[in-house]
Amino acid sequence: MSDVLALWRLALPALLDGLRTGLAVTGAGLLLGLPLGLGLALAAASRRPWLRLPALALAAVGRGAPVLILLEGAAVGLPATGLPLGPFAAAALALAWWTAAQTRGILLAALGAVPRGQSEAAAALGLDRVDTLRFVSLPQALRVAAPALLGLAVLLFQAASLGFAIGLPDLVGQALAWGAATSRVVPVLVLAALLYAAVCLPATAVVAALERRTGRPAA
Amino acid sequence: MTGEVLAALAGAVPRTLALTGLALLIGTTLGPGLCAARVSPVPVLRGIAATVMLAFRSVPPILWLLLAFHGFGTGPRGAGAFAAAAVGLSLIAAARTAEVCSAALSAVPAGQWEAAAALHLPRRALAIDVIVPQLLRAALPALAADAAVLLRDSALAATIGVGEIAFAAARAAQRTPEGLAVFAAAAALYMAIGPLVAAAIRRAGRRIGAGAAR
Repeated sequence: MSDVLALWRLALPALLDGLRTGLAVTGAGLLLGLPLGLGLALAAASRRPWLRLPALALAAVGRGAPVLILLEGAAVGLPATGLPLGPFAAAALALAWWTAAQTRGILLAALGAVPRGQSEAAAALGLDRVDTLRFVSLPQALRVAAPALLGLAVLLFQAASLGFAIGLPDLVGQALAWGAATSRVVPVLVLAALLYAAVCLPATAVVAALERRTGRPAA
Repeated sequence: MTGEVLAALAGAVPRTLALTGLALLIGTTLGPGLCAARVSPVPVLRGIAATVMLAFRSVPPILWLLLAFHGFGTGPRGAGAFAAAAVGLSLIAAARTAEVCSAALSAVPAGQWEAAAALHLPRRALAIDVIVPQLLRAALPALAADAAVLLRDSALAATIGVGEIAFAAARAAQRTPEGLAVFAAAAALYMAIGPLVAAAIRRAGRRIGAGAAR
């Protein structure tokens, strides 16, 4: 047992480095993906098919393709067409795509949860569609969507664990490297799992507490 | 894109289906048991089930697959990558099924238990004829959705060398200059198969008897 602990103490700095990378790429994915998801959700209601249909396709692929395919597509497929991307950029792009697709679903549901009377009253007051969205529907929808979006952030962090497959030195990547170097893969993987739990458990608890506060289920 | 690439992708579909199907079969069989343990009157069972479900909720699926692979999948006496992937995905499916069952359980009206008690229904009949059909009906949509998610998670097996769709796509993309098209085709495959898997779960659920009279 004590030699496992010794191994853990040796591997911890590298794993924490990987954890930081994972959190960073998660943040990048959120930064790019949340606004894009909002755009996709708004495009869903657009009357212009050239806006609505491509947005639908983007969302369908972001949601329907495995994250691994999105990652490898960004890391291997894109450079082949002349756009070379490093592992972090490729991962951020792919994860942003996934995030956008999921965010669109959450926001569309949240917008649907805003009582119809709100938009009707806005129309009666003479507000046009854009202003109604900006000042009436969207703020209420965002408040409803907040717990679900936080839950999505946690899911994104877990999805980002695949970054190692395209060469990103994230938590799993560092663990595998250490495991290979010391021939003690399983103990190091266990430490990686504990680190993931250490981040995800409190985060999930916060989301659950927020759900209770707003009185709506996040999923 | 050459027919060679498409053939390679198509040839990998059976392995993806086998992996997903196996994991769904085992997962939906073990899941309800885990759920039952979660609500058991025995504290030790409850604690273990809660810990297991928490573990699978907070640790990403890839780590479970890697642990299974490096735990018993490698080496001359190892069970191989496919077995490791199957075990990992099955456990993940079981945990998710247990979560769905837990949620569905609270969707069954409390009055059902009370009515059964008023009728002096034996516990076994209560479970099988009253609770399970309603539980199944409440759980089926989420189970079907989870099945499609599991199909996408089966792609993780590519990272441990199982020759399923994602693995074939990665290998094919290295050999052609049109890597993007290869991955697009792979994505299309997953998007096509997903609804089929979900429909299969729904059909199986209806066969088992989600048709309960209210």
